[in-house]
Amino acid sequence: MSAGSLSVTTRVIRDPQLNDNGVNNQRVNSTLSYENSLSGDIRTLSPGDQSSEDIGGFLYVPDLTGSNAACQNASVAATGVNATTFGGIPSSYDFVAIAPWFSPQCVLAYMAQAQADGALAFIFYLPDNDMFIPPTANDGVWGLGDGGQWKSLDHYPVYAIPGEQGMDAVAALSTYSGKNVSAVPNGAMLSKIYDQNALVRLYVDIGVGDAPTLPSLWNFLLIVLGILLFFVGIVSLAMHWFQRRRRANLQRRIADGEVDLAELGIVKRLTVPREMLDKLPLQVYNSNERLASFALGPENGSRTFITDLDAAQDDLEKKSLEISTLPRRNSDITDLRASTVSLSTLPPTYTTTSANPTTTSLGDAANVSSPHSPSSPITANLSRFAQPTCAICLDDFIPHQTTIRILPCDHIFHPDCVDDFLLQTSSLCPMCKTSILPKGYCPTKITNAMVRRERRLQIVRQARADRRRRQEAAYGSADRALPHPVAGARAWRRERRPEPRVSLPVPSSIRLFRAPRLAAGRRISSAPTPSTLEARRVRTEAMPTTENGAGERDLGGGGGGGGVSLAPIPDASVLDLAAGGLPRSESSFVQAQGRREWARQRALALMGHRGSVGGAGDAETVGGTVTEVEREERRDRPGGLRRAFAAVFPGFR
Amino acid sequence: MAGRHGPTKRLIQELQDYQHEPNEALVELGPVSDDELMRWTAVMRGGKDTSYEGGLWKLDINIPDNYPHAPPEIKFRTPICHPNVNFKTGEICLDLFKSSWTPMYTIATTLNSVYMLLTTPEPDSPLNVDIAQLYRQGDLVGADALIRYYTETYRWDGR
Repeated sequence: MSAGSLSVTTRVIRDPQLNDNGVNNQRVNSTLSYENSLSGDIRTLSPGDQSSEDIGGFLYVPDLTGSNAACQNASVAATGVNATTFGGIPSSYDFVAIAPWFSPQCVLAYMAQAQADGALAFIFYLPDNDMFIPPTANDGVWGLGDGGQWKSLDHYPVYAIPGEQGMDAVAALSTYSGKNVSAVPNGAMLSKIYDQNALVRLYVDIGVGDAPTLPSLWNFLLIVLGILLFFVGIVSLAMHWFQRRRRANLQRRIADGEVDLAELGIVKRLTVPREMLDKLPLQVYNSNERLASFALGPENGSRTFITDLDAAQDDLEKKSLEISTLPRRNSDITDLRASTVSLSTLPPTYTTTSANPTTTSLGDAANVSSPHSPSSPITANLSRFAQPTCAICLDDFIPHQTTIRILPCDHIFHPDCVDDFLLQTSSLCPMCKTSILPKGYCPTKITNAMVRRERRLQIVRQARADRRRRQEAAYGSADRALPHPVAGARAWRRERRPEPRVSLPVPSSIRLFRAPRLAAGRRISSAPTPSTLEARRVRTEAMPTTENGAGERDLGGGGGGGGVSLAPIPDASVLDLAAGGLPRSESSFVQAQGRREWARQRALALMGHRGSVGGAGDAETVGGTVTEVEREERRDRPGGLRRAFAAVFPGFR
Repeated sequence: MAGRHGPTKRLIQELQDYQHEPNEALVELGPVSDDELMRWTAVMRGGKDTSYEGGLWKLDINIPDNYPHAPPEIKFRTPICHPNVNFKTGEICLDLFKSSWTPMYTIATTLNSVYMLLTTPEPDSPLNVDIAQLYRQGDLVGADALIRYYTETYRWDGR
């Protein structure tokens, strides 16, 4: 209990040994006696284990004669020979000890003695004649060499008062210690009022509890800190809640198939669980005779075969276009599909061989790329046959002999080759990078980095759409003048198939070699001229990276189970996407804005402000999605402080 | 197959493929010696009409045991001045060697990608800061001159 006030008064008590009926325990008029009152200058060193009641008792100086003679000598020297001792007060009264704060041994001896005497409290003062409030309880002055343990040893509270007050009180103690009334100051007067044999002693009242309530600086700081913590907590909670909602939202959208994990750039690190892999169909490689002749032809050089096949495929595509335009073919198609669904133990030969080269309208072309197009089965089959070798070990499949694993995208591999890869390395088809995992499969925990990534992708996509709309408005006429083999299919091309297909299962060397030269021309040239700009813009547009990939995946996912699907034919542009470290989108996009934009860009770059300009552009290198999320997550990992900050304020950038 | 025989069979196949159809980017490609199929070496030439024209660089190719599940390790042995190639160690910064690898890439196609990288540098993730800075500041003439200088100075001479 902390003391708020302390007042020393003089009282007259009766000696119980002298059995008379005089006044007892009566306060002596202050004009005739010692009185001292302190308030606010009292320091509570140890609260003791008392309740919050006021303490009152007769002051005395503990006698250390029995326990520590050296301290007793020092004590007597400081307090005077005549100071009231324990024996000077009848034992039926309450006691409060008072002593100077000497050396630690003496203080401990004092306190032990006071404990033995049954004192209600102990008042210490520093014998330095100081008139200010003593140091706080934690101050080194009050150390007794035991780390503050003494505070818990004593059951009475310990207070400290200013040295001057303490010495004053002890000096008064010496005067009020006599055996009778006449020995004290004003004794003559007092002896007239009180019994001659009564004892006059100093009494102390310690007011407990009503300590000055003005908060100290520390309290103030604590309160401020508390409020701060409270607000931080509230904000943190709100942010956590918000992030959690976003994560849940993303999870739901992934489950609904709205968002593809591959787009978030994390699908690469996913692997396929065993049981899911076992569900993928295994089948004996069973090539169509006609196409097998390609594969096992006398040439046996895979390149020539592929170009043949490519031609065949183009041919077929024309047919399928035709089919989709001619409703009377529909029955054939249905048959075809049925046979494909039964996993073609007897693979369909091409019944739709009548090839009337037709000019296709734009609408028809779009039809082909839609997943529900009736031409799907044909393409599916074709792509399956189009793969006479396993892309992993480069071995040819032997018809009716080799067991093959068919991925949902209809690419086939030796089970030995692809299983290890899918189990340990990746969940993407090695050929077309389509995810093997079903749509909505979400094995990992959605992290905040993924949420951020998804949101950024959305923004980029939005910006890109806007830009395209703007460009379309600006360059619309020039665009129309572009030569194209199928004039009407331009819109389709832009939407689905970015480049004329080079349907090699391995990256086409033609395609790979064309790019650098184009790019080289662009790099070394100075400011872009309008004509080159055109070419670049078209080129860029022809390679929308993400949309393109997503479109293909949609197609692949549509009918993955039965193989009734327009299989994503391994496409050079997809491979391009794979080698996404190659820069393309940013520079070409930026430059596409025209000469003025180019100049502005360069000026800013020279000034070192590139980052602020390319805000949206930076995120555009969608090819590097994996590394970006990884980088972001890595950024979240190290640094204890930053990590703690991220934990408290998730999503704060 | 790859699991049972290791990469040996596939590497032999790749070598045959390359011999059937040489690569315009490469002067030569093959194992260092007949005993060591897991270490290849290649000599790449600079693309026509690029700053690297006329250059010849020797590359070391280390093939990991789990190839083709893991990408080969390719380094320039001859110094080359390129934003994404470390001038001293020859280390190449290309995501094909990290996240974008799939087993269907062969040594030859991978080298093609490196060849492509020569003319499409990515100065925003540089391993050679000097040349990358030139690119970032748009000093294409300066970059071109610097590249031509180094290409001339350090051309691989067949030892």
